[in-house]
Amino acid sequence: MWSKFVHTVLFIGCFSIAWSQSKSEIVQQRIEFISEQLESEEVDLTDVVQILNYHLDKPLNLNSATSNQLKELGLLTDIQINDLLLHIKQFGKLISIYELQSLKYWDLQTIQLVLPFIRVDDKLDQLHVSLKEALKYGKFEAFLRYQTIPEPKSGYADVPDSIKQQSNKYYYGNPDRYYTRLRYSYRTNISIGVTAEKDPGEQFFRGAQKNGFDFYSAHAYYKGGKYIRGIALGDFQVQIGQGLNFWSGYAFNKTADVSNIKKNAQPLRPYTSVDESRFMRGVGLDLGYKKWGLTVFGSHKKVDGSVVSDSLLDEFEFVSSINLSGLHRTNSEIAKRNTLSETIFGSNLRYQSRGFSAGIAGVSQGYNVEFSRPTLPYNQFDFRGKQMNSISADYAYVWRNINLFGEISRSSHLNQLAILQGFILALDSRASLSILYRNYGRGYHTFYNNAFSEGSRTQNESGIYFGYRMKMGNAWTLNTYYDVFQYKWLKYQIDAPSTGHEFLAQLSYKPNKQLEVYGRFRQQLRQRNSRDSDGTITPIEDVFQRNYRINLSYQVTENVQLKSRIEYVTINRNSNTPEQGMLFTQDVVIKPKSSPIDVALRYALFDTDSYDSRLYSFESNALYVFSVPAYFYQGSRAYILVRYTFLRKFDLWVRYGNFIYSNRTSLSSGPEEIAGNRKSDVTVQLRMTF
Amino acid sequence: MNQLRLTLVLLLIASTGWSQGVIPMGARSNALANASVALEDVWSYHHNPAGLSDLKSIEVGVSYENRYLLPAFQNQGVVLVAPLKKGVISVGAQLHGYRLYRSNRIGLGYSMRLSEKFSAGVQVNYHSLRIENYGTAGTATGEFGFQAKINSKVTLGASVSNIGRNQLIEIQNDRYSTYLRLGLSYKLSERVLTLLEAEKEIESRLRVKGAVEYQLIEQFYFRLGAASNPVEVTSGFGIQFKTQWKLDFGMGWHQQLGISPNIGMSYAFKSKKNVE
Repeated sequence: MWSKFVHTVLFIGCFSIAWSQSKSEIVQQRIEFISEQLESEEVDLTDVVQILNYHLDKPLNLNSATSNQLKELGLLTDIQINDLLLHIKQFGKLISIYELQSLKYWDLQTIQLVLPFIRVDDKLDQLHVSLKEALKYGKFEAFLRYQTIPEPKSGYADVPDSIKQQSNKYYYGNPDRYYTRLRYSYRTNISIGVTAEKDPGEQFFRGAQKNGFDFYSAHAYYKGGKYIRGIALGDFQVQIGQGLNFWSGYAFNKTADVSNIKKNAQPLRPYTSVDESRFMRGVGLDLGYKKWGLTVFGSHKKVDGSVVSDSLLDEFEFVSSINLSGLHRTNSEIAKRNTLSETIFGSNLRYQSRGFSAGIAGVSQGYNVEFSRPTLPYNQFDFRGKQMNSISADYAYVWRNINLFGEISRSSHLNQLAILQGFILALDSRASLSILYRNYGRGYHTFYNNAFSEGSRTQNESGIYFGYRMKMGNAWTLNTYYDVFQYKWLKYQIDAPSTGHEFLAQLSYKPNKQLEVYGRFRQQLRQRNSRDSDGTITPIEDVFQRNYRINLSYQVTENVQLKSRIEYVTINRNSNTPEQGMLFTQDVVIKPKSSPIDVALRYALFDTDSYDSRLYSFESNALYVFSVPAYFYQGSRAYILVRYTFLRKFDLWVRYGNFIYSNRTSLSSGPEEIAGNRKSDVTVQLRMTF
Repeated sequence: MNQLRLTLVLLLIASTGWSQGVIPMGARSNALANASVALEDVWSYHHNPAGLSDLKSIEVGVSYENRYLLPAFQNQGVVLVAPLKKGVISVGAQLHGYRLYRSNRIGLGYSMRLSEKFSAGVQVNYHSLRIENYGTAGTATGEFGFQAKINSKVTLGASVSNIGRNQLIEIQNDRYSTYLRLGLSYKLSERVLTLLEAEKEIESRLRVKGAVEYQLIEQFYFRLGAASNPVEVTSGFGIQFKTQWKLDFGMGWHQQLGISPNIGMSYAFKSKKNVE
């Protein structure tokens, strides 16, 4: 009885401390957590930020939330969701937040994590949306963003037009990036928006970009009808199953958060990012009848690619490469712009009950021109042709503490198969085990997929992944995974079938809300072509990489937080001298409650032997701008980010940062080359909310 | 403690070595990537003699493993354990090989709980190696281990095999491998057991192993383990019939060499002490 009282008091205490953090800080922390796992400069967590920000304002009512709504948060595992739904089914609606403690697979950490985004009460959320209400209570948001790199790059040199037109080394436009986004939304049900972006080097209302921005995107999206569950016009995203067949958005694969290896597909979503290639443009419809759902979509859009005219037959053209960067700055890039069109249509039939879901899908995808490339041993089985189809089936089953899921997909290209089978076991509320097996055919190909893999494509890979997560006591958490994989065929720069493994262990200590320390060790063994190649056949060698990291985050006072990190990497391979790299970052975040100004500062020192031994680190930037730059060579980095909120409707972000390298006289190469040893970046963003 | 110091001094003597002689036996341990230096069951005979010190009744176990499905690499292990008035005595054997090559080991061990938190065990084994047309050779080695209960959930274990770094034959400095193992077991809850171990054989690289054992339902266990150098992943199941019979089976997997299935069984005789 006494312990129960103490427990409740402590819980109330945690509850109140959670709310003393500002709302944006909570989402920021979540984004940081996710980004820290990723080692890529291209990170797009727009969807994650949007969902979380929305639910901070309108907490999700656990008593009436559907399984899909809970999955959308991205904070709970399927087993935890099922646990909650089963509890409500058995014992009726939750009476209070504290009842969450009685759930078997919800530990205190999970509850604290979701607390800001949920509520428990009797009120039923309105099911139907009337137009009047939508207009009255909707939210309008506008973003204006300007980014630039002040140092002159060689691509922007002032050369006469005659030279520019003959060469591929010069950019026509100015070095600024302009971005604007206008969006009208009502809860998560309605979203109408326009996005436009001009990349650095592209022109504005001139030349190849006569219509103003280089990239425009618009969407109109509605969700929530009884039978018409979703409808999307314009630019949208489609996600199916575990991503083997079709997944057009961003997805996380291997991260230190081992319980999140299962993907939760959102059949139809509006597209609001600026990746200029990974989206659908057309119409998408999501219909439903009770437990059944049917998504049909069609997309027709232009794609950049190098079109080559056949030398003998003038009319016959084929495409030798597809360009996904979306950059149209130089002559060659502009020549590739919108040269071919891609047509995709598909459908996905789904059945979903509380613990079980299954689906089948078929997608037809093709270009208007034949895709062909010179045959080299490593790309022998890659897609060539004009059109292909794929069909797939997926399922997910949750029973008590076991979650099974899987997908199988077949591509009409060479009749190749891809299989994924996963298994998550919640051993306890404090420990969970995940196992994932995948086997992707060496020629397996679909246009838009994004399944769990070590390689960057869902192709030519088989492997098995084990993840284990354990909480010891109240403060310690261990996250570890071991992934053992093989490539059955050659790959680019790997001239033989190869094997490898990846191991990660992260131990965190979080004794209270103010302090968190974690140590991470990661070991990767991959095989690459040996650099000592003296003959016709290049042997492959083991490349052994080890990353060590210690990270500390300390809330010194209510307004000031300090974050420090040291990371060290070593790379060993036979054909090269051992390389190492080191990064040390120190961040200060000042968010005074009474002031409309927030400041984030960083000072970092780094020293790596080469680009290979680079280290990534998440940096704070304006809302919806995701920065995870690579730190390499020797030097220092500093940035300051200021956010000013005024008139209740406006937010202004200004960020200035720079890299100062030592022992370098120039940075980057080609048109991106900067003379000198300094590279700065400026970002300014204004947001208006009505 | 003196014994431990002596062991460490002996280990510091560097010389050439040859890995053979101790084969991790026991299907339960095999399914846990052999991260079993901090475990306490009948198979501790082959991993850490101190793990036998708390056994209360006479127990016998047999285990079989086939490495990489190759007929030449078959391992059999047996163990018989009997508690005495003070301490526990054990007899065990390992058989490895086939007609052309046989490497066997048989020995005697004694383990005792020295205090509430500390237990230790010693063992003497006789190795014999027989290669067709080449004859046989034999030598004796000594093993030692201890376990310490750090708290109700965590146990620390350490063991050394072939303390004396005994040689197979004088010529060519052929020594049986000496292993030093140090590990932890963490009982997260009634149903979840986590193991972590670091193993170092003098000639080989450090091997780190980790494993999880989960009691799915009463009497049924699921095991998963992974080890480095070489990279190996293991899994297995265990069934416990009426607290006396235990059946374990599982499989190890090596990326290039393939699957090593294993199976084992043990039986605990009811003793007067058990009947309470």
